[in-house]
Amino acid sequence: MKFVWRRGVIKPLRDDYKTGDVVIFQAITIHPMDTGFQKDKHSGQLKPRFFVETLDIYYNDKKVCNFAFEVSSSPNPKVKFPLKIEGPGTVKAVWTDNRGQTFTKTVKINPK
Amino acid sequence: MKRREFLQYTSFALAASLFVNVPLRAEDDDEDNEAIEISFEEAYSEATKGAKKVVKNAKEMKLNIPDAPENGLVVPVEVEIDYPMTKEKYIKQIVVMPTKNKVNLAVTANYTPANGKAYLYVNVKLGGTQEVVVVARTNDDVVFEKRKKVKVALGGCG
Repeated sequence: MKFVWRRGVIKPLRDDYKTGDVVIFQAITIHPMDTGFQKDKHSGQLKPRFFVETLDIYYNDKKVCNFAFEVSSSPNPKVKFPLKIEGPGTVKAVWTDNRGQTFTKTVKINPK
Repeated sequence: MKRREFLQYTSFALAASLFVNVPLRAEDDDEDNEAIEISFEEAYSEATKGAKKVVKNAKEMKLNIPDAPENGLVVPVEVEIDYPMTKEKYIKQIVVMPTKNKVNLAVTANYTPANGKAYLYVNVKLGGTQEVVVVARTNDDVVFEKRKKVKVALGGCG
């Protein structure tokens, strides 16, 4: 079955942050994360390995952190990570899977 | 169109499609899609490679994993490390590893001082009752390690 990558979210878990605060962000995407060990229920054949390899986080186009996943992560991989707010701007998340597809989402940061 | 002509054309078309399809399939199978197993020893030695010191059962780390999650497919793992995140001293890597899955590596998080705090939340698949090992490495290569045993009744790996 062909997979079309169209859903993903990155957002801060709090709204009332100021400059200098450390805020927890959440990044989640919809992806099957097939391990390569499971069999398809209908055809009985092994499903090929298909998973999200990396998630890169950019804050104002500067790379802040990076997550390398393996197939032992749950389907629809979700991570929460802290980020220090240093002023207004955008936070960008870029997911890449092992077939070379990428998916990008951004969120605007407006500290109060 | 006569019957004989029709047969000739269709047989030619079928043969042609066969010849075209076979090489295409071979290309598809050529991708890097095969399952690869990673043993725990391999993952652990990679996570602690070049470490000056390994602090086992570190007091700085707080693990928050349910003792008996309902389903092994989605087990939340929450890690908090009591360590400064300044330019001189910070946590640069957090690795979450199951011990008895086929692939004993769930996620590797690379952090920088811009994160401001050493915290990670991730969902992990567990294939059965086993220990979960979390390893955190500081920028001067000291490794903190903590383990927790998790009872899983319904495994999440097929």
